[in-house]
Amino acid sequence: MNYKRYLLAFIITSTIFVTTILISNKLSEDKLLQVRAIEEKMSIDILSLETQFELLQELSCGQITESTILSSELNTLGSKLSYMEGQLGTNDPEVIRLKRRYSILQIKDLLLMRKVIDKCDIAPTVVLYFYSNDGNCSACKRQGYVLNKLSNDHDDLRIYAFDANLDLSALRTLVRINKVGASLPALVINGKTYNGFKSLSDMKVLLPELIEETNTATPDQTKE
Amino acid sequence: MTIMYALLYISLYFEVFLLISFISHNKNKSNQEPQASVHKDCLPEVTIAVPCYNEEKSLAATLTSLLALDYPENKLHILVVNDGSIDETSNIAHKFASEYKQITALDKENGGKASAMNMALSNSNSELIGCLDADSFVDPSALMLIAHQFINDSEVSAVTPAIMIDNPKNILQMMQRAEYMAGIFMRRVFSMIDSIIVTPGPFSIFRRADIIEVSECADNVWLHAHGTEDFEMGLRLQSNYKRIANEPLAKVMTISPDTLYSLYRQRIRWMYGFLMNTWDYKHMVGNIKYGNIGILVLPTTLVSIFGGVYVFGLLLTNIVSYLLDALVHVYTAGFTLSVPRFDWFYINTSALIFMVLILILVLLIILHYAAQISHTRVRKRDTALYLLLYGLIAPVWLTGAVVRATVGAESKWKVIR
Repeated sequence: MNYKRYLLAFIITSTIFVTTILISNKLSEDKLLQVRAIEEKMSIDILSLETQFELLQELSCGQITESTILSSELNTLGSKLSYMEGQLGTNDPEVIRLKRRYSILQIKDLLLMRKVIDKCDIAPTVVLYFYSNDGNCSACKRQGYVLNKLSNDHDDLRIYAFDANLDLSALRTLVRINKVGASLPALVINGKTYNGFKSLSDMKVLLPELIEETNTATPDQTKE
Repeated sequence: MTIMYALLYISLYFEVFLLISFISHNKNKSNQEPQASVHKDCLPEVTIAVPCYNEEKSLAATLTSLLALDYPENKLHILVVNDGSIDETSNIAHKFASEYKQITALDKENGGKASAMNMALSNSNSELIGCLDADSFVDPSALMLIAHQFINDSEVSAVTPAIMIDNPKNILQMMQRAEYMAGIFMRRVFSMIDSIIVTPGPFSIFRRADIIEVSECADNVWLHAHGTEDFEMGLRLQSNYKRIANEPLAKVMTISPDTLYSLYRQRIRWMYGFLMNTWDYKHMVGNIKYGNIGILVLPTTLVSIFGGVYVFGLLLTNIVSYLLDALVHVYTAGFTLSVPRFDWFYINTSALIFMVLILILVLLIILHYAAQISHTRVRKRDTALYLLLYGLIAPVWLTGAVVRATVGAESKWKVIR
């Protein structure tokens, strides 16, 4: 028996194995860096908007609404972060750190949005969604499907999704202010908190403005 | 996930070990003098047994291919053993026997392939005895090449050929053609490291004295062995430290199953036979006394079978979970059809994916070498089908065989091939 051959096979296999893991880790790190870069860009954009808001009280609503495309970036960021969470696991420290930053960005975007709503004559529908992916919220996945569907169908619906288990003081304050209970999922719509799963039909009742919008859009579509 | 990585590591280690063995052996071989051919008067006498049960469709072609062998007529005897067929097999065998003096036809009650081989052994006295399943056809040079292996190495007790798929007609058979090509490489390397554990039915040739020596009774050399006497014979020879060689240029074409069900039945029988015979020879597993076969080939093959079952379970769980998720999605939010946008970000770059890609790459290298040593070519379409389908369907029969072996339900199929 040729023991040297066994050793050589071990060295080659281990080298391939370790190299593969290192390359995979490097690519994952690059992806996380990409997420971090988007977060940093968004952070600057939000800060800039807030500053603009403070500096120019008379800033025209047209300019403001043009600048509020941030929410779509938030969606992209959210989906990339969710993908990385699936790849690296919910307990990955870097994923948790990025999720915390993402939650802060969402809260800042939410506050900015409220200012816009106060100042201008626009009223986008805002939904706050609190979920948990600790395995103790069986309905959270279904609630996510419902909200995704609504978000895809209605451009002016803004959904801010928060992992209620994140250790973040700003998020805890948001939870406290909105009186979100322990039973998840929870939704905050027009300042009112709803605990438990809400189906598509429940949501249409809770968001009558969406139905109105759909109804008013129908005649235009039939004209074509 | 840890189990998955462990399985991938073992698979990769095994493939790397085989490649290193192959390359280093070839390097040594190129420095050796070519072996001279032997005068035909010095060739050993050979009996080729053709055990058959209801083989009326292929028997004539099998016998014709044997008659065309490039081997002295007076040194080659063909013994057709009709194992109680209920079709025209016996008539065809006797018709050939009356036309060609090399051929003898024998009839017996159905008793399985092992009993047919034992009958052939007791009705012959040649130095070498081989078997050709009645659904296989040999290349004219195959026997001469195999005989030279026996002549050049007196330690060799058995020689296995290169088995190929005959005229594949559908994607299942094309997939098997690539699989058999990989088998040519495996058998070649196993022979280099003295680890061949199966002497397959299509044209494995044995040294008569050696197989009788390793048997308890000269009348019962081939055992039923859970319906896979070829596995048992391989393991028995190895457990008695007998050499099994391989001749990759001795080509044998065999008819492969053409439906998923017949392929499943065949593989269940093979896998079940392997598991049960390995259990019978469990003293060899992990035993350094038996060299590479004990510490590498048998343990790795067992791990790959149970690993295949594990991966199948995992795959099935994931598919069921995905389908349930999709159902819940449709039920809660309705059916939405959206065109996905391509983004490099979402390309899966997990180590698992890379490992699988490396294993595929090694497999392609193996196929390349298989084509090289057997002087044939591997078709791209066969390779693609092999890579796409084999991983999906093989775990089904692996699982079936493990279940069958666990509950102890032996194959009851009567066909002796």
